[in-house]
Amino acid sequence: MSAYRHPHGGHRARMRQRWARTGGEGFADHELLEMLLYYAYPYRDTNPIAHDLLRQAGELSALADLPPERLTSIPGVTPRTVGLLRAALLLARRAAGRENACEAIDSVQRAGAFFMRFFGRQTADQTALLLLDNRCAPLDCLRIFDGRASSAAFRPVLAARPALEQKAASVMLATYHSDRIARADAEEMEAGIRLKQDLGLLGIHLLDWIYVTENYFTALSTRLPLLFGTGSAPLLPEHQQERQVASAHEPEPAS
Amino acid sequence: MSPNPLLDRLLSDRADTLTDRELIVLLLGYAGDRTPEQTATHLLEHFQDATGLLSARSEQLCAAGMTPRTALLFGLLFPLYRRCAVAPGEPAEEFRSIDRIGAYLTNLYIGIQVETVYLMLLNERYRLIDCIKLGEGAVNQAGINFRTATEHAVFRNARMAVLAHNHPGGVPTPSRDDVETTLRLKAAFEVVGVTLLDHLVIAGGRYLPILMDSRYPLSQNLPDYSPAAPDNNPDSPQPH
Repeated sequence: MSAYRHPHGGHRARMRQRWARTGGEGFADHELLEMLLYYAYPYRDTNPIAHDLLRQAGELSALADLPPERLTSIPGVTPRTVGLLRAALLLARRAAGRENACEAIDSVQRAGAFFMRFFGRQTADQTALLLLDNRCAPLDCLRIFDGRASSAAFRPVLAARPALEQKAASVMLATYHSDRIARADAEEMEAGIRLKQDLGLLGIHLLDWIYVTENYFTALSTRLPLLFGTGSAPLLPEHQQERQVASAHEPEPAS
Repeated sequence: MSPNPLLDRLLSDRADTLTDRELIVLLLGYAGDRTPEQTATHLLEHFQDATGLLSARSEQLCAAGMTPRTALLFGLLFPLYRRCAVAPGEPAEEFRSIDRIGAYLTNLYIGIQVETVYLMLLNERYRLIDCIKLGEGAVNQAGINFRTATEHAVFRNARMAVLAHNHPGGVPTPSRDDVETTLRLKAAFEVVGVTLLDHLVIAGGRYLPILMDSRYPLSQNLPDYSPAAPDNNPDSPQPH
């Protein structure tokens, strides 16, 4: 039985050799795009797809910002393809310093907005951990637990290990409340206090705990300002903080 | 829950919440890496940040444990982005200000970690004819062959040119050699009727135009190139 021969293997090998010789000099836009698309299409000829994408976008620079549905309308282009384009161009844009890689999360408002975007709309409670560097810029954000941290199954190591592995200077936690009430109950407040103490023993600073629903958020620091200090919360009296936080996204009044 | 929550976020309006590390994890997945989380952690430790990772040469990426296939993917990103960044806003865009020229050339050097010399050729309407890589190395060494540079300008019918080179070390301060080379090239171009508008030193996302900078005594004997200041030479391109 004869060995399988990749239908485009010769062409891809020649492109890679040309790339190795020239470092991209002399490559047309569609050729650069064609090579990137190799990673979305292991066996398919990506040259026509590259041309179609450029035709749809108008130019290379517009590809990352087009709505996915504009691109997936092209035959053969899948959400996975669009994901590759976006990830590639977004990372390059940030690395080039032309775009801040996630603004610093240095206030309750920014933390709340970040987590609301992170969770989006969910149907079940879940807890996430945001790792920050010494400038409060995000290093990583992980879903670490299905449920609320007041659950007996939640363990401090779920937050501690990622923080230690990635050398985070500080962390924030957030819990999505699927019951649409973004407020810590007594058990959650106790869990927050315990976790802050546990992480503090390891030199990990827990800045705040944000409670999120689809429409609004609150922060544990507003309930416990003395414990959480000035790490993330503005220096406002508690009642003003409650009003400030609640005004970000007011819950819809009950009908 | 979606099988790939990172991809879901990337395709939604929440893409800005993805960290650099998460984007690297996603890309490693496309490259077939079986442990993208671990690999991303290792790469960021090795190269400090995404800029270091994307600026690394192929052999450096492979030395850090990447397969050649994965190294090629990450090696594509800056060249792809540079192509996006230097695309002219309009086909007939005119480069009539040092700011516009500086912005274009700064983008051209995104991610380039070796000293590289480019020659930007403009026609009489300040429109870009081409931007040619003259070489790698310091400006006073292998970077510039005056004859080659002049040939490019003459054969492409350029009326004006801008020279540029980068300082990968991050400081756009020109050396004495840089200034002297600028004056010599300007004189050489004048022989064939091409005006060297300036020589930009690019570093750390900034640029310094040698001829316009009054700190360099050698340049004070030359007529200033200033797009806002007309000179008395009727053959010179009219500033705007």
